[in-house]
Amino acid sequence: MLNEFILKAPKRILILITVLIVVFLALVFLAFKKPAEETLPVKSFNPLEKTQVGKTRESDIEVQFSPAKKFIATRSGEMVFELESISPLRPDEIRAKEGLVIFERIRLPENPSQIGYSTISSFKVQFGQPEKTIKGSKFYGPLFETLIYSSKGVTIIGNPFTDEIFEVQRYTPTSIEDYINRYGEDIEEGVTVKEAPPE
Amino acid sequence: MKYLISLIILITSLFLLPQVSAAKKPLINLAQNTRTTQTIIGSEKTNLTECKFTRSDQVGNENLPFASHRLLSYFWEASQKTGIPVGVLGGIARIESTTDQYSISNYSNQDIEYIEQSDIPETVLTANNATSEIAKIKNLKIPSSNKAVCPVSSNNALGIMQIQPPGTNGHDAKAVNQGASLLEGDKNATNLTLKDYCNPRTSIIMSAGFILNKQGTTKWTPGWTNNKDFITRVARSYYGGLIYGGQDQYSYGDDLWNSVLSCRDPIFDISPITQTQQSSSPYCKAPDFSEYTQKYGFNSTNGKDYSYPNPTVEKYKQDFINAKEKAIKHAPKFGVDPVLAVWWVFYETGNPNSYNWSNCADTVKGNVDYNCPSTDSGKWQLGYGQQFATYRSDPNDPKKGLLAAFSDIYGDVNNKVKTKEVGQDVLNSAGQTRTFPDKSIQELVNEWVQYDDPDARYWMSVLMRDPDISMYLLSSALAGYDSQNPILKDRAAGWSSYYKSSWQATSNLMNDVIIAWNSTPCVAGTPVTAPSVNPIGKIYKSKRVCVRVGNPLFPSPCDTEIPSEGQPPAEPGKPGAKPVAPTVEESELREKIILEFGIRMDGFSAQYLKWAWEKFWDIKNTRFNELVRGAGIVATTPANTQQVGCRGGTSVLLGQFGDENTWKQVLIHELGHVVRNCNPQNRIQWIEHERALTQEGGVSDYGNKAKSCTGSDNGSEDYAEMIAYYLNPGNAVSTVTCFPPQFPNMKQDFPLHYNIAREVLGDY
Repeated sequence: MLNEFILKAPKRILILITVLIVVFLALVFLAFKKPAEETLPVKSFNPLEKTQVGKTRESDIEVQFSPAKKFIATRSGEMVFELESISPLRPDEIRAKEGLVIFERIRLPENPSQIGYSTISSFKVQFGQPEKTIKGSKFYGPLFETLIYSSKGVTIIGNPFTDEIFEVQRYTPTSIEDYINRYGEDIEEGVTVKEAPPE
Repeated sequence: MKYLISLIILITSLFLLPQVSAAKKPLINLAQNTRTTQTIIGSEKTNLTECKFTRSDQVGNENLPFASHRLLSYFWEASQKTGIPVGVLGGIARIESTTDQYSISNYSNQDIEYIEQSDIPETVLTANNATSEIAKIKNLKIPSSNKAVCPVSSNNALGIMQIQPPGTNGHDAKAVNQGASLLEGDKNATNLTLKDYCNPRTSIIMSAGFILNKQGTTKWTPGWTNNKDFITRVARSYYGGLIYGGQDQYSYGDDLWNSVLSCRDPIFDISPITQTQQSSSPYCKAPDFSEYTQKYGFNSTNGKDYSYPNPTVEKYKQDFINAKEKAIKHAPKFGVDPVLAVWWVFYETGNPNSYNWSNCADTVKGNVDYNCPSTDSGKWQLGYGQQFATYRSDPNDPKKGLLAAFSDIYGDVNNKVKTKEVGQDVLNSAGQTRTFPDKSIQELVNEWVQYDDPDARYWMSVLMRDPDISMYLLSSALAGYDSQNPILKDRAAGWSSYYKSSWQATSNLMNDVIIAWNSTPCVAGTPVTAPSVNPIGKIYKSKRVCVRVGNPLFPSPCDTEIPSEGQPPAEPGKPGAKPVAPTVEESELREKIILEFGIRMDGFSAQYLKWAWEKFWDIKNTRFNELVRGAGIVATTPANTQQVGCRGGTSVLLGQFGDENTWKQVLIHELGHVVRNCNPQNRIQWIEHERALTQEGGVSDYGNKAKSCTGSDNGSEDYAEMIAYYLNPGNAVSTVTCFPPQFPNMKQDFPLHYNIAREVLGDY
């Protein structure tokens, strides 16, 4: 029956139908196609993020955020801006190179009702499993973990026992090794704190 | 052409099928959400010895507790590892290991120890050897009993939890694997030994993993505990069916559900004693005085020395009857002798009327504490003579505290009308003209606990002078005073020289209390009225009561003002208290620490267990225990002391070393790390502590120079030091070898730290 229809139909109509089907399929494909992996950092994760890595200009930092301190990193030559954070011991930090922001670090609040508070599990829902997890933080303590998503340009440091995120770092996507070399100064893997008491 | 159309259909399918498949995913999530949003009602009892486990075919003995605390500690440990309630694990053990010869409920601590020390071979069980190996031990009995050393079923299920090893019908290698993974070492279904299956602890822990595997999970969701259908499902999956017994059939699921209910937190079960119960109270006649001389160490009466309101004289008769009624009503709830409670009222208050007594004068609203060194401590008595601090809830005992008292006596703690009615009655009865606020007792307690609102504290103190509430709280504080170790006389002598010197007078008082008790009507249930003898309708300021803080660095005003006029007994958690650990076997003390404080201590000698028990008891009234409950401490070499984890496994490695004070300091320091690292930041004031460290520096050298000493960070170490010094005030010791002993005066020199510790832990 179908063959008979095809044989009898004029060639032009068949071509038209074929074109329509192809267009329809192309539309379906585009509608359901997953977006391609971005090469820039993924979009903002936390509302407390102040800059957009790779876009915010270095010249805007001082104007907009009044950094408490500004110096040049000796190793990388990057310009480092320290900003007041909710922690008196751990300032927020922005780094810039060649006129653009390349790194931002923010301390998240401790109260679940405050804007910006976040948990490791909710982060994983959005970003999936980390590319590397390292136990041991110089600043927070030896039991806490650094979860690195270097290809997405984001790293978090958190408490695996309470699920809380202490801080978020955003940077230009790179390799794990490069992240650790450039920004991983807080990582202190395998350290045990033996508190030998007086004998 | 037909190939073209087929190709188009194929391509279309390839594109559309994944989308259809993806569209189904939300349905799965919806189902998961539905499952996890069930209501959670309460937690399990703190005192697991109160749980009764059901096996319905044991007529007359259907519901029994476990006699062995050791066994209970294993259920608790398995519960900590997996979240499965003790009611479920114990309930399964009760059904699985009860025969016509024995029941696991009747195994004693000695029986369990005997099993653990028995020579059950450590042979790995395989499909080939299981039957022959099991045959070697299946008839072993504990000497002089019919109790099996290793319960073995007709189907060769093994141990208390009756797990099927390889080579037996019903063996589930995956489920056994999950259970074995919870044990120490690299255990799995292929290397478990006969001993692993028969050892009570490993059997129980394995069963927990087994249960979870059968439910396709690795962690118990709390809502399941309240879901009878789910508990029934657990029963079915564990037993392979629901009906057990011969001709008379019984429900495994119903029995298990009953066990779960029995282990539920009793805060939901507290109900006031009914009037009928009161009128037929066995407490209407007091025992002979001789019983009190024996039980509490009262002297024989000499009939001369007397310095307290005499309950036998007419002036105090109505007060006595009122106090007696309340004591009969409330003291038995805490296992306290009502006669002892009334004796306390007359001994301590100088005015045996609850409405109008406080030893912190009540002159200005919100200023009740002007002569109280600390408002939230043992230095303030009121009502029938309970301390203000008895308002506190106790996570280990849901019957304790002001909210529990109100709930027990008057119902809903959020009821503003009832709260006002009770409070206004106190004010009116005391002849005061104030108006009680329109607030519920829950609101008032929240305002005081969370915001230190002195007005809220004052209104709480008013409610605590209500006779029923006051006697309830007093009774809760007197619980355990019938202990023989030490007896009350010796205990009181340790409070101060006042109690020692007044013992003859108070012995005479007890004799007269008994005389008055047996000569007054037992009018339980009669409404209490304010006494006609209330002279001026004001609050008496009775004798000054002081508590030495036991710390020479922080002399209390009381120490110099009226040093010998009297001290109330130190309760747990009161500085100056010198607890004495129970004189029990090492293993029993370990179990007591688990049951009373929720902390597991493995590998410690009796001396260190004793010190640990004493310290935990000493700080029991703070919130410390709440913040570290579930921790496991494992003995190690002194040089290896460190925090390694949080709850459920090993939290701290701790050496056995040195003198008592140093060891207790290090014990609390290490658990101080658990407080900081294992609780939400806002709960333990992480950021506030960073501010304190920035502004005040560390409370000790270690908190300032941690890196150079142990490689740690200042924030971690100063927090742990803050906790350790707050709970060991005046302890001139050092946590680490790098620095000499220090004794920071936190309150004076580190007020920010002190306030954080107080906020996090409560008063000590």
